[in-house]
Amino acid sequence: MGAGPSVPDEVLAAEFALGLLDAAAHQLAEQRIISDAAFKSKVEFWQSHLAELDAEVEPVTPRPLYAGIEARLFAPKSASLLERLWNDLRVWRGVAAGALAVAVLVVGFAALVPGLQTGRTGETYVASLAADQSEAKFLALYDAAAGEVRLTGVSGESVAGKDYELWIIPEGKNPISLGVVPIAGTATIALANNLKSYANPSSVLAVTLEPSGGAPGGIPTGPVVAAGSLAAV
Amino acid sequence: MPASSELDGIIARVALGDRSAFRNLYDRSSAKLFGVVLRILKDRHDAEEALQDIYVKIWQRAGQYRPDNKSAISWLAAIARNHALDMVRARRPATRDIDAAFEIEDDAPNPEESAIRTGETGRIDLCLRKLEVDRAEAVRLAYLDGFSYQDLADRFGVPINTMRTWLRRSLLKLRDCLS
Repeated sequence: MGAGPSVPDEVLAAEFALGLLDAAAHQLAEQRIISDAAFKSKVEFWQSHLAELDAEVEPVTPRPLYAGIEARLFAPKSASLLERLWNDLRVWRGVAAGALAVAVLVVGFAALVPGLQTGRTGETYVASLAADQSEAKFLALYDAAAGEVRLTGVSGESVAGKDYELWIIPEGKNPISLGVVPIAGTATIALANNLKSYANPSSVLAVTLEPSGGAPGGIPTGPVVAAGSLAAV
Repeated sequence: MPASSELDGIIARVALGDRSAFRNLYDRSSAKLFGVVLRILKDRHDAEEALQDIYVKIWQRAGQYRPDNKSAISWLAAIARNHALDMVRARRPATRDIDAAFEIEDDAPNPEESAIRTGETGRIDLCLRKLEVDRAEAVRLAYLDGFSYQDLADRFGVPINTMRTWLRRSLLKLRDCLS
């Protein structure tokens, strides 16, 4: 609905909150909420008052749906891999956010990773990679001066017929494979030039368990066994 | 409905990926949210589909919930309602706002007050009672039942432009009362 210029913002905000705008106008209003704080507060005014009307809705018991929801969110096949990946990462990010964890890791890390020298130019990022219900843990370090990720397997076992594969997941983008990595020892992965800009704290590193040789088609298929976001040292 | 603070704690645990908390949240809120979407979508099958999508969203967005902004059940109901309205909107043809002009002159005021919902104590309820019965009903139909302007025009037997003028004027009155 092209609510004409003569429609006051108060009314437009109310129409938005009531759901009266058509798809195009609704979308425009959503964008305005992001960019226009005054409009946003008008919308919130209506939303908070109208929410009282929720009390007038009678609860209705749906047929049992929980199993379907659970399957979509948690079962290996039913949710898209990307969706699961994000869910796993979200959980892990919250847990791993503590600066203490990072500090402890960095101290231990210098000893673990050969070739890491302090005082070199360029940013250095570290990430500790782990996940619930997984033994596999990795430490990763990105050395911007060298353009390399160094990944050290800290715990976990190799799995017959499978390989661990490292991914970088830039914010809002699909995982990009950094190749198959060993669970024991250290691997050095040179980042292609087009990937270097992704090596920053908005990205997440994740390791999945894939068929031998790595995920076919460059899209992760296996479970996320470890993940963590990069933090500046 | 369970106490809001209790739901706050459950949502916080869901945000940390606690599946048993998610199950608990579903058990406590699904009938209410199903009521919200069923009322808008009218069709039980559609509403069941929608409810599954809604709980997927709730799982994904639990970390965004801030207890200081609104009550837990309002936050959940807003996710449900917006999802159902998105579905309805996607099906609707785009409307043409023929009367871009917003005519503000009042027509015959007939402040017959609604005394139907005496049990409600919310501010919005009090203010809606100050509107004419039809107009308060139109606000409720839009919010609770997902009516479009066209649906409202059909329900009240007036041209859509008249409906718009009507409702917009009522919304301004409502705003003044709520402020």
